[in-house]
Amino acid sequence: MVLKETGRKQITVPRVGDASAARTGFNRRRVANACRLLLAMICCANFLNTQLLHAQSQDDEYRVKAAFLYHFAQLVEWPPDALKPNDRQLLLCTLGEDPFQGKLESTIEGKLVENRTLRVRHFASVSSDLRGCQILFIGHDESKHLGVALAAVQNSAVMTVGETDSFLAQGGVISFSLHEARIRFEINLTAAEKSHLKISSRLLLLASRVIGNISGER
Amino acid sequence: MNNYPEIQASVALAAANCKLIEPNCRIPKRSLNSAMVIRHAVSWIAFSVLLLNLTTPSASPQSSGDLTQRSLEDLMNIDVTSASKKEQKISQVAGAIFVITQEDIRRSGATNIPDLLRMVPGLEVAQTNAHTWAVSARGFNGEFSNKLLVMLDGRSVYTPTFSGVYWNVFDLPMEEIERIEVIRGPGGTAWGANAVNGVINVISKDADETQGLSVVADSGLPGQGPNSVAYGGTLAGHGHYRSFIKYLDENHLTLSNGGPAVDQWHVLRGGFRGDVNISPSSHLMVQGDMYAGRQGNNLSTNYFGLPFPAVLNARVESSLGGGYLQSEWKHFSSTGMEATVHLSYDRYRRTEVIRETRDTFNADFQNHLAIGPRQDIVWGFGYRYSTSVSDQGISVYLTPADLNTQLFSAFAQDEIQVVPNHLSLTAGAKLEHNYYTGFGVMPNLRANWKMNDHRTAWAAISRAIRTPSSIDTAIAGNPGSFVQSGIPVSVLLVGNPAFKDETVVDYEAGSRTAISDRCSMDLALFFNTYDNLRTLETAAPVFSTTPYPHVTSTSHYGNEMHGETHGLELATNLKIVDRWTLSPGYALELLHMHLYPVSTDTTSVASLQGSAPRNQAQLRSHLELPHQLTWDVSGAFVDRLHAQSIPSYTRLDSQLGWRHGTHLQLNLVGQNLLHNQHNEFADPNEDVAPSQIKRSAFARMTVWF
Repeated sequence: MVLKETGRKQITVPRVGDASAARTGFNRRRVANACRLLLAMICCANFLNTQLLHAQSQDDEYRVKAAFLYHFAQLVEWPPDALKPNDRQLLLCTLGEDPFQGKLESTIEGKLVENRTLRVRHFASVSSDLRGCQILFIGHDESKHLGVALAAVQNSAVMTVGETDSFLAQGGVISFSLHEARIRFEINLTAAEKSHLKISSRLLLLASRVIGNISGER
Repeated sequence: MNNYPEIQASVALAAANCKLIEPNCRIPKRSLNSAMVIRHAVSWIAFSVLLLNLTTPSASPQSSGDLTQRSLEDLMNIDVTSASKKEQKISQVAGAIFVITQEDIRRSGATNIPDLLRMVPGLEVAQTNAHTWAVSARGFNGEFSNKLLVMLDGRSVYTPTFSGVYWNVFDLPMEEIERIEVIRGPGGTAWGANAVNGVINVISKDADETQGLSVVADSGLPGQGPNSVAYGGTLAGHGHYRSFIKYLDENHLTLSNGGPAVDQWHVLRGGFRGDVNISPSSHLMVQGDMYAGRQGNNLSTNYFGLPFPAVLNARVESSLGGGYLQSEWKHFSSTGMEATVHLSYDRYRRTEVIRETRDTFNADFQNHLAIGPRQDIVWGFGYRYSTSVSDQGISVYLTPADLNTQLFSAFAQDEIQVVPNHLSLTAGAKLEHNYYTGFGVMPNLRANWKMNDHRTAWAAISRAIRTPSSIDTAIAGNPGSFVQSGIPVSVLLVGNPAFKDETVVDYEAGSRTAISDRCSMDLALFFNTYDNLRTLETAAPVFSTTPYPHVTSTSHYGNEMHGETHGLELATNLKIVDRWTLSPGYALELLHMHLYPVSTDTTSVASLQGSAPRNQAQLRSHLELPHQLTWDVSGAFVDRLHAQSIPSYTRLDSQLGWRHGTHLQLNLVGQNLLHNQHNEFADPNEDVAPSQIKRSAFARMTVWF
C-alpha cells in the first residue's frame, strides 16, 4: 500500500507542474524515480506472487477435494447389486449449491475406476433420483437440508461425503475437515455398513477419525 | 444456539487493485522529450505488467498437473486455499454479521477479547482503564453498555445487575477460540432480551482440536501479559478433553495528570472442556472454569456526612471471583432433526462499589428440523433462575439487597425458501416473561435475495427489548453532594421499580458483493427507532434541618426518552497479491435523542449523542513473508466523543509473527504505536476516572508439544 501510494503520488506530480520549464527537470527526475520504484514493485509483486508460492505446495481446496473423491471411489467397494454389470459408469452427484464450480468436471470426470467411467451430475434439490448415485457430495451450503438429503438415500448404496462438523453425527459416511489449511477426512463405519459399503483398510488408516463399528469387528 | 452457519477461513477475496493502482500518469505532450518518452513507455509497460500480475486470477499459482495421479498421502500434505467459503456462507445470513476467525485472532496480537473486537467495522470498542472496557454497536456505549448481548458457547455473560459485561473476567486463552460471530443489529428473536443493538457470540474449539501440551508466555513492557498452559488428551471411549491455567497481571496505567490510576489487576483462571461422542448421533460437551483475582479502583466522591460534604478518596482493592459449569447435549436423528439441551450454572462475586454475589442457573432446549425441502424451522424454550445477594457498598447499595428472579422464554423461527437458492424469508418471534416487566415479545422478519453468485442483498425488520436491571429498579444511595449558594445539597439516587422495557424497532438492509475473486464488499445500512430509553428524573428539592440544614435532591430512573439512530457499516477485503490482503472498513453512526415533555432530565440526551463516534475507519493489512513470517498492521480512526471531551484518535497496532515447524511460534506485538498515550473513553455515567492508554510492546512465545 505504502509503496503503491508513493508511486502514484510521485507520478501525478508532473501533471501539476508541467507548465514551468524550471520544474520540468525536477519532474523528469521524479518520473524516473517513480519508474524505478515501479520496477522494484513489479519485481516484488512477481516474487511474492510466483516464486515463493511455487516453492510451496498450495492449491485450491475444491480441486484437491475432487482428487480425494477420486481416491475414495477407488478405495470403496459397492455391493454388487448396486452396480449393474452393463452400466459402465460411476455416478458422482452434488446436491444444491455446488462448491466445486466446475472443478469436478475438470479434475475427475471421465476418469476410470475399475473399468467404470466417473460421471458427474448436479441435483438442485432432494429427490428420489439421488438413490441412483454412487457418491453424493453435500457441501456446506446445503447443511440445512442435510437431514432430508441423508434420509432420502438411507439404506441405499450411496457413499455420502460432506464437509460440515455434524455430518458424521447425522449419518454421513465420510466427512472432510480442514486442519491448518490441510484436508483431512473422517469416516463413520456404522453409516458405511448401513449403506452396504466396504471401505478399504488403507482409507481407514489414513482417516483422522473413525467412528462407529462394523457389527462385531472394529 | 446460533443459526449462522459456521464460517471458517480467511477472507481470501480480493482485489479492486484496479482502482488502487490505476496509474493516470499522462503527461502533456509538449513537455515530453525522447528520454521522457522512453521513461514514460517503461512506466506504462511496468504498469501493464503489474496490472496483469494483479488482475489475472490464473496467475495465482497452483500445483499444476493431474491431481488424481497423486497419492492420498500427498494430497493430505497440500496446503489449500479456501477462497470463497466465508463469502458463500455469509451470503446466507440476512443480517449484518462479521466473523473473527482463528486466523484473524492469530494475526491480531490481541491478548483479550475487547481488543480483538476492535477489528469489526461498526463496533465501538474503547478502553477506559487497565481493567475496564466499553463495547457497543451502533451507539449507546458505556462501561455497562446495556444493549449488547455477549455469549460464550451459548451461555450469556451479560450480568442482570448492571446490564453489561465485566470484560476483564470474560476471558479464555485466545488459542482456544474457534471464532467470534459479531452480529450488529437486534438478535432478540434468536437470543432473547438485551440483544438490542448487537450480539457477540464467542465459540470455543472442540477439545479434539487442542490436543497435546501448549504453553503461551508473554513478556513485555510495561505490563505482564497473559501466560497460559493448556493440555489436551483423549478420554476413554470416544472423547477428548483439554484443561488450562491462565494467569495475567497488568500494571496500573496513569491518569491525565500523570498520577497513578490505581487500576492494576490480576486474575488466575483455570478451566476445562470435554467433548464426547456418546453415540454416532449424539454429542456431549461439558465445560467450566474458575477464576480469582483482584483489581484496584480509585473511588472519589463527596457524600452526605459530617463534616459536609464528606470526601471519600479511597484506593480500594476489589476482589473478583467466579466460575461456571455448562453442558450441551446435541442429538441428531436420522430424519434430519437436531435437538440441543443446554444447561449452565454460573457464579460470580465482586466487591466493587456494590459487593455482590450472583448465582445463575439456566436451561435451554432447542429443536431444529426441516419440513420438506423448503422450510427450515428452529424452535425452543428456556428457563433462567438468578439469585443475587448484595451488601451495602461505600455510597451506593441495592434495595432489596437480595433478589431472586426467574425468566421464561419460548421462540420459533421459520426460514422459507420462496425461490430455492435465490430468495428466502425468515419469520420468527421470541416471547419472554421476566421478573420486572412481565411478558415481552421480540419478532423479526428477514429476507435474503441471492441475485447471482457474486451478489446478495438482504433486508430485515425486527423489534427487541432491553429489560430492566437491578440498577434501574433497585439502586439506592448518595452518589454525590455539593454546596450551592452556601447550602449543602445532597443528591439521592433511588431505583424505579416501575422501570419499563427499553424498546427498539430496527430497519436494516445490506448487500454483499464479490466484485472479483480478489475484492469483496459488505455493506449494511440501518435505521433504528428507540422508545422508553432510560432518563434521570429529578424531583423538586426538599429542605430539611436534620442533622443540619440542607437540601436533598432526589433522582430516579425514568423511561422518558425516545430517539432515532441511523448509519452505515462497510467492510471490504482486497487481495492485492496472493500474499497480501488489505481490509478497509468504515462506519458512520448518527444518534438523535428526544425527551418527552414530562422529563426533567438534563444530561442523558447530550451524553448519549456525544458518546458515539460519528465516524470510524480502519485499515488492516496482512502480509505473508517468506520463511513462515507474517506481518500485520492495523490502523483505526475513532472520531471524537463530544460528551466526554475525548478527541479523535488513530490507533496503530502491528505484529510480526514467525512460525517454526509445528512446535514454535514467536510474535512481536506493538500497540498504540502512534501515541505515547491517549484517552479512549470517559464514561459520563460512571465514577471511573479514565486512564491513559499507553504505547506498549511485548513478545509472545507459543510452544506446542
